Amino acid sequence: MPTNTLTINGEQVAVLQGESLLDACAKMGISLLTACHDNRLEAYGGCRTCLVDLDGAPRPVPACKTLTSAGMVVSTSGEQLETVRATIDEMLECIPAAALETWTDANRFIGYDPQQCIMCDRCVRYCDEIMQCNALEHVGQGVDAFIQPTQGDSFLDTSCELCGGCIGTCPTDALYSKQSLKVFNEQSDAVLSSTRTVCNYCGVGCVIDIESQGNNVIDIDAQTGVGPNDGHLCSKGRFAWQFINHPQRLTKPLVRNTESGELEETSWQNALSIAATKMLDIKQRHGADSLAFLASSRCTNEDVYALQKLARAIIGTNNVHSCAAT
Amino acid sequence: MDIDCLDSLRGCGGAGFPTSFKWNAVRDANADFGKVIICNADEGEPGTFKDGWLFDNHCAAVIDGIRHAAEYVNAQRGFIYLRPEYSAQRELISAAIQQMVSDNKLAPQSGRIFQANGFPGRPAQLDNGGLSIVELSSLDWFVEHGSHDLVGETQQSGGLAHDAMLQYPLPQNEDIEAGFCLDICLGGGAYICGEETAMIESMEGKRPQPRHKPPFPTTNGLWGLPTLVNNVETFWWAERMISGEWQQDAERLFSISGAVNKPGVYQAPIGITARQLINDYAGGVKDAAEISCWIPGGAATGVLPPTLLDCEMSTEVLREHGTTLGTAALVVFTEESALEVSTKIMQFFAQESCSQCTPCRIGCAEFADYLADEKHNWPHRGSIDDWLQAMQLGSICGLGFTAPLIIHQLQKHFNFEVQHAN
Repeated sequence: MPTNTLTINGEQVAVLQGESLLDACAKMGISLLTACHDNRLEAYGGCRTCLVDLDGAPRPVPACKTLTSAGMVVSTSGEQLETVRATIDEMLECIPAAALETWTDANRFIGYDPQQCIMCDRCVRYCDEIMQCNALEHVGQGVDAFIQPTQGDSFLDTSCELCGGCIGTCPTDALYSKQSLKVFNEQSDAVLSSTRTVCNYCGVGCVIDIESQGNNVIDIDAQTGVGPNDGHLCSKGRFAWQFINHPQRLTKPLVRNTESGELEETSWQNALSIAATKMLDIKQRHGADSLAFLASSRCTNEDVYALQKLARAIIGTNNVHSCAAT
Repeated sequence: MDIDCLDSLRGCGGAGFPTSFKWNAVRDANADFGKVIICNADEGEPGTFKDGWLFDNHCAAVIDGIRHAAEYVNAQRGFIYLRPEYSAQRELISAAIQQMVSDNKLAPQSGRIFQANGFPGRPAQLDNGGLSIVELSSLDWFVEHGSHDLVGETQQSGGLAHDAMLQYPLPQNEDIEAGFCLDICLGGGAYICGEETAMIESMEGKRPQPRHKPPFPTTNGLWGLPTLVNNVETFWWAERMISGEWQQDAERLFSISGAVNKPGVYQAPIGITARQLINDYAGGVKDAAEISCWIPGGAATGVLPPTLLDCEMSTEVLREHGTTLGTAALVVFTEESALEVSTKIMQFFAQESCSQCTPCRIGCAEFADYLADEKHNWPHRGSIDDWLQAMQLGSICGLGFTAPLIIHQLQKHFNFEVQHAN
């Protein structure tokens, strides 16, 4: 692949064509602060925190939005440049007074706090470029600008899939998980910890980070550049964790008492033997094809293999399906 | 076709870019997918109304200028991006285009009216509301009306939505055979739509946010095609020069408004003094009052003191005083102080910032508050100069670059004291 050689802070660096100045700086170990940049999205160049000096340009250029070309001479430091960047950082801290009143949404998952919003458009671009839902839009101008569900008051009125990718990409806490806010206990002394694991909702194997406080899950997020999911999650992976400590969660096998009609706690051995007896009974009376085996998408490949073995070898039917197949 | 005669012509939209340079760049650009010409008639700079006046008085000549440019750069499609309030001018342009279609000077399908995208916001105003172009150009009008929400209003104006324009993204063969096709595109009703790349975005149906340059519209403009964008007045002067009616660009159209007896558009030599313009052309100051301050070239050029009324109205001389000739729109104030005028301009910029880049989005608003605050408290850690510098160097487009000029002019000419809270 063709490369470009350019000079950054007096040192030469070779980069692939099509790479940005931000990529080139990263190659040299110079990490520039960014706010509106997300590797998974088209460069935006709006926050202006990654400005660098480029020889020949009338004013500093955003490294994220500037493609490299051979012979470029770039400087990432300098008194004036650093003052400009520091001032822009200060500007980003400003809470525009006009942006305090905005929408509230009835959905249970995604919340918005305009005071934290820096109008970097990452959520809008994520929803457009990655999800192709366009469920978010940037409305208004100047300090009156804000983000809202497209043409409506609620994400539920849009094509939003509630994947929460907008929360994942938000560089501030402007977009937040409503569930997390509800569960997080500020008063608690319990230590907040983060555990990296693999989501078991389906076979994709998304790498997730579970934030927990004691025995309570606070949030599930994914990091860009990690695992097959590259920071993306589906609505189940990101939001469906409230079952963990839910009082109605099944934790023991239950069998219905034929006399009272109530479910009663029993041993695994008893529950399985009742199920096996009844299945064989059905097979005898109605034939093997009157039975079907459906595997949850949370089962592993090995689990699903064993299940189809049971169906085909023991029962004798091909009625087998895994929910992960659809 | 030879355009040597245009060598001295500089764009009249405010930035003063050499016209022939742009024309040659578009002519030499890749022609594989066609080329586009846009006549920038958004005229959103407060105080400026020369474009409206040109359509009122020299509509055919302007269109001839566009046609000549199309011939020179080999463009197949053209648009007049018209300020939505210019309803009277819209009719004149439509009539002139129809006339040229009958004379076989333009392709037969010319004259369609499209609607560009704007910012959702205030209700649209698609007629002039009974106001003259002078009244429509006042700073007060702009501060009050700001950006418009044109979505859904298109039908009333008889226009087609911007997605209709996208159905003809590339010039079709029949278009090329039929000749240059010139349509009208009603502007998005926002100040920033006058910036060429924001204008192009709005024509593509997007949020009118300026693009990062390079690439420039001369190579990557509307729908990615090489695009020539010039101001109405530029096309008019170009036409007069090409037709041999005019030799050089020693004159400009000055829009004179505010506290003068005869506000209007006057053709006068570049280098004339502001006092001459006011007294010899615009009938003197209203009620012979004392001038408190004046604007040389539209709101973005900031305020100047009455002591500079005798300086030459040329880019070179005005630059010495910290400003430019801009759109050559002279506005005279007698009742409002320089601070009051500057505050209004800054508030206008704050409400018209597109909110794409941080320095302009936050900077304009903070400086508007700072000027409006009676005590002029500056609540930030960074100094005022640092903030002005960050806007000047860190913004994406000309709105952010030039907004600091408003404060600089107050400091330079009106002894406006910079105060720090810290």
